[in-house]
Amino acid sequence: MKNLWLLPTWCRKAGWAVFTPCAILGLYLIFVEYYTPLEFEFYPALKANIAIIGTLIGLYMVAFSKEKIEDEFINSLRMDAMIKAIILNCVIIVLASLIIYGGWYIYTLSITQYFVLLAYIIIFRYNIHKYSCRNEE
Amino acid sequence: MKNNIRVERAIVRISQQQLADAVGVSRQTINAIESGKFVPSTLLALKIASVFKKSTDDIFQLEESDWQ
Repeated sequence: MKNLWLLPTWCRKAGWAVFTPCAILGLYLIFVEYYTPLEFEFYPALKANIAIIGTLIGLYMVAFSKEKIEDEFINSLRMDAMIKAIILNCVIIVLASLIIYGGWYIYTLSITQYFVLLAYIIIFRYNIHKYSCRNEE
Repeated sequence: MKNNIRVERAIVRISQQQLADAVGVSRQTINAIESGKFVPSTLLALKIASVFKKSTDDIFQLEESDWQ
């Protein structure tokens, strides 16, 4: 399919290289520094913005980079993974709303922004792996 | 929809990868079509049939469940 807005194949590796340090920085800010963006302070806000934007861009690059051969079946796997990821994300938001209260609810919501992309990546890669492993007769 | 791609491959002695390369798709796609998990587009079905030098009807057959 030529009409899908996908990035070149090399973006997947570059995406992981961007995502990993930024996600670690983000988790560090949440779980160690307990950072909350309630008031503007330059240095913490800079760190938080690097973590937020880097994580998002990294995940986007990993999720939407082309496979070596991008065909109609791979596109159907993308669609399947996207639908499942969105449903899973909705379930997690509902559960979080019922179970988690206070400041942690804000953290949970901010993490679920990335969860939909992460879930999409995991489900899509699993689907590809599943069809790669079937025995050929 | 059922198909006999696996049988046709065995007759001409080509692997899934070779068939995939011939029609310009991934091996996973051929795998999914063979196992009935994915119904190919008309274009891909015609390409597969042309590799085996047969008509699409010889490769792909409708099943009763396809009419329901």
